[in-house]
Amino acid sequence: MQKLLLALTASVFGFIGASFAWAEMSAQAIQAMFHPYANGKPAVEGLAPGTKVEPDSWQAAQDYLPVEILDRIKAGELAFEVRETTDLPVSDAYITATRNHAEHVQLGADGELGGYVAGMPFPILDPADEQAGLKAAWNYRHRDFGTIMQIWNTFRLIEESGAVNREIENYYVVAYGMHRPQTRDANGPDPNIWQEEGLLYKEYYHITAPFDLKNTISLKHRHIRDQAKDDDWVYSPAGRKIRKIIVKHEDVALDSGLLNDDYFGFSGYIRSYTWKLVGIQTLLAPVGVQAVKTTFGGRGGWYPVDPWELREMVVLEGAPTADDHPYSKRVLYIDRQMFVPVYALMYDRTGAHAKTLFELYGNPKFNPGNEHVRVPVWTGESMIDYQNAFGSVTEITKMVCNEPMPADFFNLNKIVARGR
Amino acid sequence: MNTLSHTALLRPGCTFIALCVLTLALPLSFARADFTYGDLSLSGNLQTQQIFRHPEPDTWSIIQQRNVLRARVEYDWIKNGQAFSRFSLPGIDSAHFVGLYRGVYDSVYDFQPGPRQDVFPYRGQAGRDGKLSDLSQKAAHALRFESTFREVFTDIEFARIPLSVRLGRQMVVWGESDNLRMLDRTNALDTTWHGGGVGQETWDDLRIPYWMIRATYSFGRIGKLSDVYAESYWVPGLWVPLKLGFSPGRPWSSPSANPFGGSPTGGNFRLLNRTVLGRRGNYSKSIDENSQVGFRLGTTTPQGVTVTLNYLYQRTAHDDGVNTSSLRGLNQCQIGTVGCETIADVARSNTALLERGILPAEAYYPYTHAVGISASYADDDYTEGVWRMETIYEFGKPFADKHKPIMMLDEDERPIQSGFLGIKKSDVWQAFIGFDRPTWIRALNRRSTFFLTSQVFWQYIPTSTSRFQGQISATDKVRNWEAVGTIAASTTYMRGKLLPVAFFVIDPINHYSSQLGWVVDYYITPRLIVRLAQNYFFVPGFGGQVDESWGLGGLYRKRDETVVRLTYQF
Repeated sequence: MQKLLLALTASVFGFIGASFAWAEMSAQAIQAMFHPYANGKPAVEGLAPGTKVEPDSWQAAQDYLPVEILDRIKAGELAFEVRETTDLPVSDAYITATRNHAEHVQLGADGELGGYVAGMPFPILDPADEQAGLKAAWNYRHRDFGTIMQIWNTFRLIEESGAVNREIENYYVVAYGMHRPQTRDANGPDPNIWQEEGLLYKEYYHITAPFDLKNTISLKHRHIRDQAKDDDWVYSPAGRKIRKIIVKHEDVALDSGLLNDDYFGFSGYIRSYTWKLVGIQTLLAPVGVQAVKTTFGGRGGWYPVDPWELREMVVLEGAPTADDHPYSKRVLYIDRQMFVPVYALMYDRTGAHAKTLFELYGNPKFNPGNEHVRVPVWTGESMIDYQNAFGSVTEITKMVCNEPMPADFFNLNKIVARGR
Repeated sequence: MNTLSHTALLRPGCTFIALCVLTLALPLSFARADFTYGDLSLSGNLQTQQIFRHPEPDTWSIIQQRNVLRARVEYDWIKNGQAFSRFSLPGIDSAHFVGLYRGVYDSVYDFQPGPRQDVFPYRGQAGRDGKLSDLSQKAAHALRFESTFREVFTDIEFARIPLSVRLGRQMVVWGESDNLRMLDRTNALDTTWHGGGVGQETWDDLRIPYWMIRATYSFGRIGKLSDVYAESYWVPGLWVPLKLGFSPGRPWSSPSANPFGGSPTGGNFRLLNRTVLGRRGNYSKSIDENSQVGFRLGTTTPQGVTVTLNYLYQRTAHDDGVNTSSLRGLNQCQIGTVGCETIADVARSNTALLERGILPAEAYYPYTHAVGISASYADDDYTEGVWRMETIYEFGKPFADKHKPIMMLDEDERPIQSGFLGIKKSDVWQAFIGFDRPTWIRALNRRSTFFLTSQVFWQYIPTSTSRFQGQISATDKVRNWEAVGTIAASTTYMRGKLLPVAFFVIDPINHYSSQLGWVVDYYITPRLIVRLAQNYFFVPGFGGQVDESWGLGGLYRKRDETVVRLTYQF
């Protein structure tokens, strides 16, 4: 009996001790992850705010940019000014949920998350951990993207000369329905509206111009289980029918530079890649745009030319497991504070750098209607395909965050009705 | 007073030209790809299309030079329960207006080129018909212009119930198939736009929009079923059947001359009961006599199967490929009635009618009940494709019955068969299974997949069909079983600028009668698109007449076409 009591006492104290240890460690990790600039913003000699990084003045930036981007500056394709780092914290609800739940999150043998409730699954990323890359990929999957994001934008395929091959205006919505960090109000609606279906989010894409594609609509269901495949539909105004489709992630739409798993840096299945955490570095990045949309310039008008900032970045490398994928690897440069990739480098099967993708996020204070939003505010996207010398550029017109939408907005019959 | 009267401005040609001028003027004041001003938007295109007919490799003639303006106006006239931002409308959340105008000017009627066009059965004297220059100025002018708001409707979303209603002139498209009209039969086709242009003309241009009311109620999730909805429509009287065009005025439409009235080269007969083939049967266009209704339930199962159950009650439009008869022969007296004792009496009464320029037949569009199912399922694991299916069972479709000949007198006053037949009704079952798959063919395109789509369609008539007469010719058999297969492939090249599509259709029952076509769209700029397309119709290894009703190598042989189209979109 005494042994049993001793064992119980030891295990209880052991548990409490472990919890205290984790709580202490997680507090530090959470502080470092979500408030990396609380103890001061990065300062680098030669890269003070106002410094111009140009073909003839790139030397100070050489340790703060991937060589693939630095080479483009040297070649005169891109130039920018350095700005003071902007503090861009995500929502308190997300940070609180991370603090409350991260301790219980585990990776299963199949690579799926176990014990996940909300927030960032793995705020502690140790490069020495063999699974750190996979954990970082899950952090990205469950980044704080708000509950509903509506975007009006124009997508262009641009030749090196600046000539536009195709121009498509569209309305894009992504809405999350599971693992919401917000707690339910006493009488308020449950934010986890798709818990029963097991759907993490739904993506809606509606072309509004030009006339030949107007009212083409696509819908994607992304399941919470990474092993589950997406459900995709497309409504074609020519046929006036909504149709189930299979989307190959390694395919491209409209022969653009963007593979279907390139959007937002990476939007494929986590299981389709082998992930490796390269490290956490201070790098220059085009973050904190002080406008609704990014300004593009440089070669072909493909590059973000608003001021860049020194940011804490998580460098994550993903190698496709499929032999026939066009890439041998992609390297995501993830802004540590928002946990969104702000640029990504894609390498072809020979290992040569083939493309650079920029995902641009702004400072909410300069985004009318979103001044008080604390999620990454998307301001543009550009995929530069060096091997084919053209760019795929998304210019944002307007963004609305977390505005409630009708419950049946994503219903198939509603999409048909909206397709007209 | 201006010499240009209001009446003149409302004439189709004037409206079309005025809208063209307006459209060309608009880009001066707007910079976007479409023109949006607050809740109002305008978009559309200007298009010129030339069709060349080449029945033989060395025989080419232009048969169409169609210039089209499409303009689409949209307006959110109720938002958040406020109409025009002024009037509160409790109970209604939002309403959206859509108007789609189509104006056409075909300049081929101005220069009226030859030569004579080949028509079915493409041999002997009957194989040649008139040429465009045979048209009188009046007839050419009547065909030269079109000016119509094809679709004009408003969508209304209710605030407190998940109900949406669409009121106005519109199209309803149900089903899962491509180019096979089973559940997609609410709107009949207008073959005056093109008779065999499937693949190069959109169904939006081919369908006839109707004034109707459509309502959709979303139930949301019921048990394990998601996206459950009910949809219904009602066409309150203003329904019209398949619209036919004939040679030589519409050389791209039906491959024959109009055998009845109104044709410059055909006869000048009328049909019984003031009916008109392709326009109206023996009924008034009223709610009582000409309403059409449809109802469907749709959902997605937990396994990811999207399903609909459909019911339609509407008149037979004769545009679904079934070899039904749109003419019902009617004897003018029944044997056994007063003054009608013998076959000769029947023939005499019919002949008397013919002598008055009226045929002993009427255009016939009877009501049928139809039930159907459609479904689709994405199989990611094994086939990596999407399986689609659709089936419809129709009750009581009209077939020409060889056992019910309509008699007439010959020159020697002897009763002979007139060629017209009475009707016998039969059920018809149609179904298809389709498979779509994005497929890498890296030897042909290393950057994008090919979208491959194939369909197998079949039809069964559960009656002895030996007494039925097909509509293509006197030798046309109606078979119990028919089948058609289709395959199509599309991809994208040149960084979004070049979009090729190729397709092949085959009818294994009727001598492998086939159609092979391809379409290439090239975007010179995002707004300026050039299209090159070709359609070839053939019957491999068989030179004789092939009676088939699917519009392939039998019906459209010698109707090979090349299309050159230029589109400016705004």
